[in-house]
Amino acid sequence: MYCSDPPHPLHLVASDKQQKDHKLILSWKKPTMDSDPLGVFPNSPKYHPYYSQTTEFGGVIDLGLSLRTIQHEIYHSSGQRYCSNEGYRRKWGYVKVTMDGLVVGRKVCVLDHGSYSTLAHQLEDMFGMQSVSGLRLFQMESEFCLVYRDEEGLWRNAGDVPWNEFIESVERLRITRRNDAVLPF
Amino acid sequence: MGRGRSSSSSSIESSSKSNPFGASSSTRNLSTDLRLGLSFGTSSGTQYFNGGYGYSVAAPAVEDAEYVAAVEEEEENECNSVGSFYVKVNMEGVPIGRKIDLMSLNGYRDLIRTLDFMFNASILWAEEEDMCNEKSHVLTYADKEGDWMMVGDVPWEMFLSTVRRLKISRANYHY
Repeated sequence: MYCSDPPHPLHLVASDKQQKDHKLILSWKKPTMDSDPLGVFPNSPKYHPYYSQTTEFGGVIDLGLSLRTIQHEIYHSSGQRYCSNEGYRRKWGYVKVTMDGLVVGRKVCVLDHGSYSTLAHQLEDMFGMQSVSGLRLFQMESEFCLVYRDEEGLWRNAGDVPWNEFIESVERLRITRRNDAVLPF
Repeated sequence: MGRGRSSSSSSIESSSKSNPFGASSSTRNLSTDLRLGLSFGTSSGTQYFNGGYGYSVAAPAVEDAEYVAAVEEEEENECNSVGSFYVKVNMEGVPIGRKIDLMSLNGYRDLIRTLDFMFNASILWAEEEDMCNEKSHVLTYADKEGDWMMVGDVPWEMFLSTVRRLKISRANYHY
């Protein structure tokens, strides 16, 4: 009865849902259906810029510029994210710690420690059970080493600089196997 | 003689008539051909460019991402009104997910107790890492950067500002 009565609001709701599904289907079939762009572009304002660009004779040049714009936006977004992370670190003193091979990371507050040794102890408690002999960070015979990403985004070996300089520049920590550390990241 | 004159005049007239007619026809034909060629070329190029190159290269890379992001943002906005903060919770091995309002909880212990009841599980978190042998699952969360972290390392307020979704993972897989 509802199906036979088009003006009914439920039917309208169903129609809206169908439209949404239709859009979703279209989005998945974009690369294969050539006739879609002509039909879809005028309806959606998001597609309009690309439609107008591709219809111009100098479409190649416009696409290049468009891609550059996209890349710029992505870079800007990444920059924002990086700044946001830095803000959190400065406020709380917490940095992420990941161990190669593990999916789940941890967080440590570098401001709670006064030296590398206490940090090594905490990391031992967090990740030590991953190895039969433990992490034994900063020890000669250990198979693991601790590296950190500094404020410039470079990965460095932890322990090379004094502790106070370390906590000022550390952004992220990573426990890696000594062999792998030689390879460039 | 009269016949000769008549024949000559007729010949001249015939030539005069045929010349402009032929020229006109030739011009029209050329013009038509050129126009048709240009039209087909433009149309074909446009369609090919839209469907083949520009569309497939530019549109999916940006539009799909933006579309999905927009939908997700809308979903988040709809679900999290003032005073509530719902996040998705999934447990490994359980196909049906749940949602939990983190704003209605007092802290980590309240969160763990609620999830233990929801999923009928014994869940490990950061403060109980020494008891990992007795727990079968560990509570993890995806932050705004998409990294999966163990729950409980940071203060509750900081956790609320970074958590995006929760997952109860098998403990033996990580430890």
